[in-house]
Amino acid sequence: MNLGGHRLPVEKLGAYALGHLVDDERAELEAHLEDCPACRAELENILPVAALLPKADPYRLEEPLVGPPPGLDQWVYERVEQERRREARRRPSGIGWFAAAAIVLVVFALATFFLTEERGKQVSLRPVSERTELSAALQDLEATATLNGERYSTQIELEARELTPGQTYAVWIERADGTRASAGGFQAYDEGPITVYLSAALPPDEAVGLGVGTPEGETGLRADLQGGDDGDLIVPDLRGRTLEDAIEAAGPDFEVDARGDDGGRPGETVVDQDPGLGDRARKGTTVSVTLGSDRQASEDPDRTNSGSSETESPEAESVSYGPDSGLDAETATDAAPASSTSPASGPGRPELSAVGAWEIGAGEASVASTGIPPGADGNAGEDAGSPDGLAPIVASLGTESGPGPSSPGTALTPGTASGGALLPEPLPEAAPLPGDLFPSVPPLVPPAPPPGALLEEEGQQLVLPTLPEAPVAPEVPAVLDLLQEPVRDALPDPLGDAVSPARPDLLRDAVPTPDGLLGDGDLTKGIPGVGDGGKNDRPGIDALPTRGVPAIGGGGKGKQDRLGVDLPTRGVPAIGGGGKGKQDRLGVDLPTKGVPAIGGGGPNLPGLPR
Amino acid sequence: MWRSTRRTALDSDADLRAAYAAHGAELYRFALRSLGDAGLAEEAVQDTFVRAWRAANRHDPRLGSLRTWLFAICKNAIIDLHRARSVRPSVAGQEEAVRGESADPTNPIEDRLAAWQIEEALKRIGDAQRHAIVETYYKERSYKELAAELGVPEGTLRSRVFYGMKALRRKLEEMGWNP
Repeated sequence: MNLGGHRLPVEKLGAYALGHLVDDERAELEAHLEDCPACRAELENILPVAALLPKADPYRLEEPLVGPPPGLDQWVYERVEQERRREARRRPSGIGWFAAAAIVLVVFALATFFLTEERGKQVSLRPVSERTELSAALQDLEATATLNGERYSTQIELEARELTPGQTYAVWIERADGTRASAGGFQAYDEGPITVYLSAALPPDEAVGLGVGTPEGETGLRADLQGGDDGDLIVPDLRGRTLEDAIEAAGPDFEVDARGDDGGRPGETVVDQDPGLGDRARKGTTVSVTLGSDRQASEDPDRTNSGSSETESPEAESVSYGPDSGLDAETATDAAPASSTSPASGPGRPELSAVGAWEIGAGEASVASTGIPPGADGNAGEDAGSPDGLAPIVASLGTESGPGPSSPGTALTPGTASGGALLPEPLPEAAPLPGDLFPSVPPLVPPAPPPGALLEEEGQQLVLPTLPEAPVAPEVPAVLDLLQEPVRDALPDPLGDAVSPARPDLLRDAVPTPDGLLGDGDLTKGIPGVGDGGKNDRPGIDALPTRGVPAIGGGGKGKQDRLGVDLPTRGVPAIGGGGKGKQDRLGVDLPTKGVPAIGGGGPNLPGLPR
Repeated sequence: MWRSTRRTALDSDADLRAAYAAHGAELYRFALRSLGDAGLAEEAVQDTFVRAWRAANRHDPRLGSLRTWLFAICKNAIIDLHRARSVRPSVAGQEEAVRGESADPTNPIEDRLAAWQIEEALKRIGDAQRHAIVETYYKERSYKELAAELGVPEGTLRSRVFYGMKALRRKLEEMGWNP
């Protein structure tokens, strides 16, 4: 071979690879390989073969080539055919695609059906009157809900759309007697749709209706949960309104008749009505109303839901607590400037019945919560002992905390939104919240008590209001004594310091005491209500329904609940709600599960340290 | 498994039969030599064609012959069967014992495959080249003596060895050998 101008010693490359060259030939070839890339490439090509030759058994080379056994070919063909058929079964044909899709759809539908069945009762809410008769925020509102019952509560998964941004909506469950159990509420950030998770302290077997409306009490949508009275409308709440306002609120569905009155005197509002709030009545039913003054209403335990304002609520007793044993309202106000923001409450909004807020320190964590009180009717006598009959709590803490009266700068002001009255009012069910109670978060801070209103009872000491309507049950004081320390312990440090051991009664009294239920979970175990406690509930102001029951001042799922203003509940931000209960803190809890909420407690809050 | 619509070497029964007719026997010998068991060798051959049929769309004739591809598949099938057998009593060992051979437990499957491949390759090259390699390498006969016996120049005998080795390489590569 002549390659590249030289004769390639190919006859020697094979022998060289097999080690057959004698020394002289090998040296000569190796010298050539150094200068000849072509020869080196040829050698490198056969060297691996030379390395493989030792593995062969030369005697096998003499053996005749063994053929495959007869029939192996058929076995091979059969195996391949089996595979072909198996694949045909796996691979749908054109029609098979449709069949497969249909199967998927059927399975999905069945799964959805059964899952839905397991999830609970689904209902669609319908307008209670002509859309045009509703307020603007409700005219387009649409909602569906899924309800799941627990032993003492009804869980509501509400999907709402066509919301009015910024509008606060209230949700409630109706009892057979027409009263309502509040499920809290939510504030719309946009038009939705959104899904909110709410809970009402009412067993599902007692729930006959589900309503959505405004905090002002207007019912927008309603679903009948037991059927049979779909044609009925919910009687609107007219109490607290002037006769003129009541007629307007009743709309075209109801007539309003003032009992023996010619229209009421100036300042008089509806203090009673028949049929009452939450009752169902046919369209055109006449609602008889009784007019009276606010004081008249407030003096009547059965009329406690009358409107009260900052200036008109004589029962608005306040307590402030702080420095020089003489913290006055002014001090409190200064220390907590935000607390001067008053949740609107006036004759036009008598429904306001619950606001809870704590403000800790000036310029720092300011937290508040609001809740829709359960109940707005006037059945005080009936509801006073009800878990729903919660009194509002409004408390503000001043800046500088200190133990006891000698600690300057701290004010604890429980009371109502109207000025610090802390009343165990047997608040009506699902009393609506005024719209402006829910400004953008962080929201509410209760108003500071009016100067001078704080010390009127005992002069130098801050005093919680006397609670004539719902006196503490005889056995309660003993319980309270037991709870004093736990209450302090439950408080975040600044607050705990602020609340002197010398004045545990401030806390004690700050606890609404309808039905004598105070603070301790033992008292209310299993009963959503005041002071109910859940797991780590503390006695005291975290009074409320806990497990899955949203309510004013409630405490999420019971974990790490703190002083009261954290709220509902089970993964549901709601008005006054409190996230899922984890790390609830005093104060404003923000929307958790995609839902804006107002006023609960929850993580990420600049609230009080533990 | 989703197969492409591209025409493959094993699409039809005719293709399959042609492939078996061309390569079935040597695949069987390959498996028998590697596994030492006729039953396993048959199983290996069946597995080889089933696997090839499943993956036929992945065979690109431009990259290698069907033969090379089938041997590569067969080699994997043999290894799988060998591993499976390794957890069972050694059938090959029993068979070799019957034949008076001892099963070499240290001889890994790769060595068995290599041995069969080089033997199969030697059988496939030209007789003159194979004879030259067998006589000079395995029987260690001198080039001079063998050339004289064959009546050819010694250089011609050396050339047969060299080109025989190059042919072996091609045959080995056709059987999936990868140095």
